[in-house]
Amino acid sequence: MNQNSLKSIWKLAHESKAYNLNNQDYIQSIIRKSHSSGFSKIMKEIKLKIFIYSTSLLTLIGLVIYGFIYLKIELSTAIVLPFMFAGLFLIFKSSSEIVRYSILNNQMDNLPIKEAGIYFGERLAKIIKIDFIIYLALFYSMGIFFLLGLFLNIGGIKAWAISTNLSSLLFIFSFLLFITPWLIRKILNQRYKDVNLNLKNSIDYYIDEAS
Amino acid sequence: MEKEFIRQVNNHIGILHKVCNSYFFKNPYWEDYFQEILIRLWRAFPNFKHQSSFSTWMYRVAINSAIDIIRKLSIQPVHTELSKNEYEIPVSFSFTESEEKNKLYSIINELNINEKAIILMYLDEFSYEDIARTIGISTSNVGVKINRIKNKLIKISNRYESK
Repeated sequence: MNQNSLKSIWKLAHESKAYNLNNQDYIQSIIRKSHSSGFSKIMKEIKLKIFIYSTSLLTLIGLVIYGFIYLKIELSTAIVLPFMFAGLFLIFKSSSEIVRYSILNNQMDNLPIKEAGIYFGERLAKIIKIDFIIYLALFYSMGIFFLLGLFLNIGGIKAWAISTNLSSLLFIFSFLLFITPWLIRKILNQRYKDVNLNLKNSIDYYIDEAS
Repeated sequence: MEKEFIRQVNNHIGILHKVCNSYFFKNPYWEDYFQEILIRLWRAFPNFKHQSSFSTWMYRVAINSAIDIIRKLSIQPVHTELSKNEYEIPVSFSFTESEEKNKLYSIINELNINEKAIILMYLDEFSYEDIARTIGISTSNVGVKINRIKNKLIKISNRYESK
């Protein structure tokens, strides 16, 4: 193979009669679908996960509101903690599935290829950033709320020495709340590492070398 | 609009084959990606303003879709196994493998996604201006890239022949 024979080899390889057949019925049946079979399954799976996680979260919130506000049940912190963990887990799962869905559903096929790559990268970064800010606000407000409650219960920071084991546990839990958003960000960065690298390589590739 | 789209795509169905073969060569989900790109072409069709030829527009959307699918698969790698009858691919659409074609796509498959976009249009006799508009780079940059890709293809081809 040499530079000049490339096009002729290409032409020869594509002299297939299959391209000249009438496939109009097939094309019509495909474009009536919203996605191909494989993608349709992926999207349905994600939608189902979003539904399960958000419904569970709403049920949990409803139960907490009903129990603590309406029925005014007083439970110890040790019993409340598992509910808190369950809630945080459901928030994380539903939010990450929503992010995944919005990334997969996002299309900009009419743009020039270079621009579409840049746009995809910007949108991905924006979605991850918004997701991180939501986690940050949520976990930090919960952490502050917990610490406030903790100090009010034990009578301020001076009384810390005589605090119970449970208070120490709550203190550790609050600390975990503060570091969780950063851990999630690390997980997200790891998850999107390949796609970010691919985008960076694409943008670098198109840098004008002729000028 | 649907009839017009079907007629045009049917006339240029080879483009879809070439893009899919270049980006998903011997991939077990080739048919699935073929269908997904076809659906995305239909969704993008209302934005086709006849500023370029249909084939140029089709290349742009099909390549964008293929690259987008590759990127998204790295986020969502789980692809549920599909049975053959879920594809409903007519015989004429299935990937026919001639030795020449196989070799050609094996070589192209070693290029990166950006190089594939440029060389595909070059091999299909599109002008440098058309390629530049589709990719979104300058015409002179297209020339530089094409020369490099051609040299790379020849090196890969020689490596194949020496095996």
